Amino acid sequence: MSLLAPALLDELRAAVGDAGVSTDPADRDAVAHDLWPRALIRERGGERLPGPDAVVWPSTRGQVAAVCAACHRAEIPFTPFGAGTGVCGAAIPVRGGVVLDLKRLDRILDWDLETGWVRVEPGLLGSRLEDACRERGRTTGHHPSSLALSTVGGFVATRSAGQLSTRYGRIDDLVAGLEAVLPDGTEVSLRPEPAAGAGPDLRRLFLGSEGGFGVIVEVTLRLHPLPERRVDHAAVFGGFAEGIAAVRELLQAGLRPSLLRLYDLADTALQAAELGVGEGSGALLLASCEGRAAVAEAEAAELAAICAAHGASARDPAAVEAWYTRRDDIGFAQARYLPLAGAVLDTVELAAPWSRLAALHEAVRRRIGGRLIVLCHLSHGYPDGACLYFSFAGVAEEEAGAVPLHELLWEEVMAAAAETGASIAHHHGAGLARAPYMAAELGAGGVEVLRRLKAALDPGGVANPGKWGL
Amino acid sequence: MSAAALPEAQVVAAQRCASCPKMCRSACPTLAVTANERHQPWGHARTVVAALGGQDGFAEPATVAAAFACATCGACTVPCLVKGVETTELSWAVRAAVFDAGATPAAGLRAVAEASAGRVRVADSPPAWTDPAATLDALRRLATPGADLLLLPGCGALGHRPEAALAAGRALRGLRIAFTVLDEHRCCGAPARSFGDTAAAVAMLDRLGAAIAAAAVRRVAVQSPSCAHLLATHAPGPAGVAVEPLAGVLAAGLASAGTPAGHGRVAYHDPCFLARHLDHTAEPRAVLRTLGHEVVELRGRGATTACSGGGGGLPLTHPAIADGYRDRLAAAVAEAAGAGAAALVTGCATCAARLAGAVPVPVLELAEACAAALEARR
Ligand SMILES: Cc1cc2nc3c(=O)[nH]c(=O)nc-3n(C[C@H](O)[C@H](O)[C@H](O)COP(=O)(O)OP(=O)(O)OC[C@H]3O[C@@H](n4cnc5c(N)ncnc54)[C@H](O)[C@@H]3O)c2cc1C
Ligand code: SF4
Ligand code: SF4
Repeated sequence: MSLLAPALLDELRAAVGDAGVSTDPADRDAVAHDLWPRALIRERGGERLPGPDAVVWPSTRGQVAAVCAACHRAEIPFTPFGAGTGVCGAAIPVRGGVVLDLKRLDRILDWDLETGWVRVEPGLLGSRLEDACRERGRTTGHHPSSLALSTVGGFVATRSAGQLSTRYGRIDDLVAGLEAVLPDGTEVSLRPEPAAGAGPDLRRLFLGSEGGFGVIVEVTLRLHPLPERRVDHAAVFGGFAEGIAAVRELLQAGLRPSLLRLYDLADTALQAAELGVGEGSGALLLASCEGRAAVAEAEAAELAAICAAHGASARDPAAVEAWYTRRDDIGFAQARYLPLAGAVLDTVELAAPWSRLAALHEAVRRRIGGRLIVLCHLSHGYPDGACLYFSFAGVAEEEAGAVPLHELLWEEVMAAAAETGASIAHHHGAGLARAPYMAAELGAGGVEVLRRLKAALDPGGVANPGKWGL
Repeated sequence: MSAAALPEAQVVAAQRCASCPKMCRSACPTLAVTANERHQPWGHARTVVAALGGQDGFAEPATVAAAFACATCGACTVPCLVKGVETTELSWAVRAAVFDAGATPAAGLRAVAEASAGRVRVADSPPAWTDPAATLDALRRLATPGADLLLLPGCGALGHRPEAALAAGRALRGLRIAFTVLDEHRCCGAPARSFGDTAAAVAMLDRLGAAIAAAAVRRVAVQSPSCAHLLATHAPGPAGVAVEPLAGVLAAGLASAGTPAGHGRVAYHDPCFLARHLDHTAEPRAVLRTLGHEVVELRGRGATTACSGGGGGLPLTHPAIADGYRDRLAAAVAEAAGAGAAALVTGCATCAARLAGAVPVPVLELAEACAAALEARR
């Protein structure tokens, strides 16, 4: 039974048509959660999250505006939903209401190949966009492991980062402009610009907004020409610290490899076996330089020289190609192991400046090691720091212990971030997973800014409420 | 409750699929058409897990709806690398569990009864069936009694597009390949498998096997792709009888018959069961090229071909979703027509029937294209 008033349901049906509104429990159940492991573990334990009261499928931005306005007037929450592949619970409609499924807004609207822009709707799947770009000799350069699973709107709303972000930038860097519908239905157009300087950058307000400021209904993304050449390099360092030093030096020297992954010792042992690179001791680096052939080759030569200067021994670059062939396979392991009683699997991405990166790595391993398997790799590099991406796996003694073990995992990882002054998130967003830690992340002043922004843009508090710890 | 009706391997498959981060979502046409999160392998598997633990078991309406909202096209099996998960196998097992729970949709029960009675479906909405005896008689007039090749058009060709079944006979004759046909139509049991009636499926397959044995042939050429797949995987006839898709027989015959005159550019649509389930993609193209056609490839071909929506009983249980599949495929055909394809050819009579009129170019089943070209040569 839907708890929505019949008048609101009528209004929603008037906005999007009868076929665009459902109160069927099976439709609602399918959007009751995203892929936040906590929700999946709870479901495995027999719990059913309540889900929304209705699912609505708009197919135009006008319909989005009408739905938002209706919810705003009725004081009923709405939660945008892309593909539900977020891993932090951001798309969970914690206060019920309406889930606004955006998959019918999936058109490519316009190419400006001269400038290097493409204008798309938010429900477009990442891989569909990338295929269309490639047909035109272009790429966005944005390739998260979930490229074929997630939507452009989801990328923008969670501040996603692709595997090649060191060269192409994260989604933040790729958004040239966007259009949004505010929670009361007001339409906002923030037109694409190569650069602009009049006042604050309002586009940025919607990056990572996780539906809390309304619905992104159009995005203009920057394009790059497909690289003429890719030069791969694989190397093994004596230890993680030596590898970090080399990566820092090459980034600070201005190199921008597309692929840049440095595995810690535990992760190297696993990767080396899978990628066929020697015995698996030390810290494995996988890198690619791409672009114009001469530039890519020169960049790769510089990268190799810097690695060698830090004591790395080069390995067969075929390992890098082997990595590319399975670059998006991370999710398959979840399918295999998550059904097991008591199993706890998760990944947490943190970011820190170079001066605190090693301490962050040590702190997470110290707090979690012994309780769960901890693997880590550095990826997404910047001149002033990098992301450390941790993978955790373990089994609670009984199913009832799985949620507490998962809670403990997050408490400890977030404590490690606090202890070392690291950022609690690099690219998975905040959602519910990080809500309790937002105050520590943003500080009292930051939380106040966020609270006021939320109150100003969403005075009724209807847009994806219950997130960010507000 | 009929939870035990699901084999253990499929219970594990459902649990894994329901725990998967929807890794195949971009491949599933049901999701593309409905935009509904529940309608993809992950969502369907969740309803199976719910049925295993729920009071209504496999009679639970959401489980039943999910079980049949799938054309068993196999598109999701291409990206899926999860060990033990083969969605089409899971789908057939779940449909059997739904049948055991007495919850099979009435349209499905009717389809099984009609197929058991040797009748073939000629229309989907509203569904209608007929006795294909007249078509078989016409085909028999082209046949050579005692030939060692049996032509099995299958329900798809005999029902949805009898002219395709007749064209198969004309093409074989044109290639001087002697063939014979069964005395009366025997269904391979694919419709019964689609609707979970395992006993009926086995009985139908056995009857077909006995008929093949009685025909005393050494080879069977199967025209309908789902039929070809079922016979290839279940081998009902006597040992030593080779079963192959008709496209392969035509390709081999044409290779030795020499090349007829050119016939322009055509697009070719790979049927799911031929291309994905049987990996039979080179043979139909070889037929077209030998006939002198230039093949324009569709967006989505081979293992990633787009389903026309005719399989798995989808037009009977979820006609709107099935039409959505067809429209997506029709858009790809229109694109190929824009690139110069003057006709669409497909190795499946059901697909041809579904696409005819929905695309801006004439549609031909492969045997029709073959027969027409051979006859034009004379
Ligand atoms: C196997 C796997 C691998 C992954 N790999 C990566 C990776 O490499 N890099 C990475 O960054 N992430 C990765 N992720 C995380 C996830 O894919 C991203 O967070 C993705 O951006 C979510 O997109 P979505 O369309 O599924 O959004 P959803 O999960 O549906 O939504 C995410 C949040 O955005 C909001 N939202 C969605 N669309 C809109 C819109 N149009 N307007 C306003 N708000 C909106 C929702 O309300 C929600 O708060 C991975 C996830 C999985 C399961
Ligand atoms: S079919 Fe395979 S890839 Fe698709 S959801 Fe199921 S397990 Fe995952
Ligand atoms: S077999 Fe086809 S329709 Fe069925 S779930 Fe897989 S992709 Fe979807």
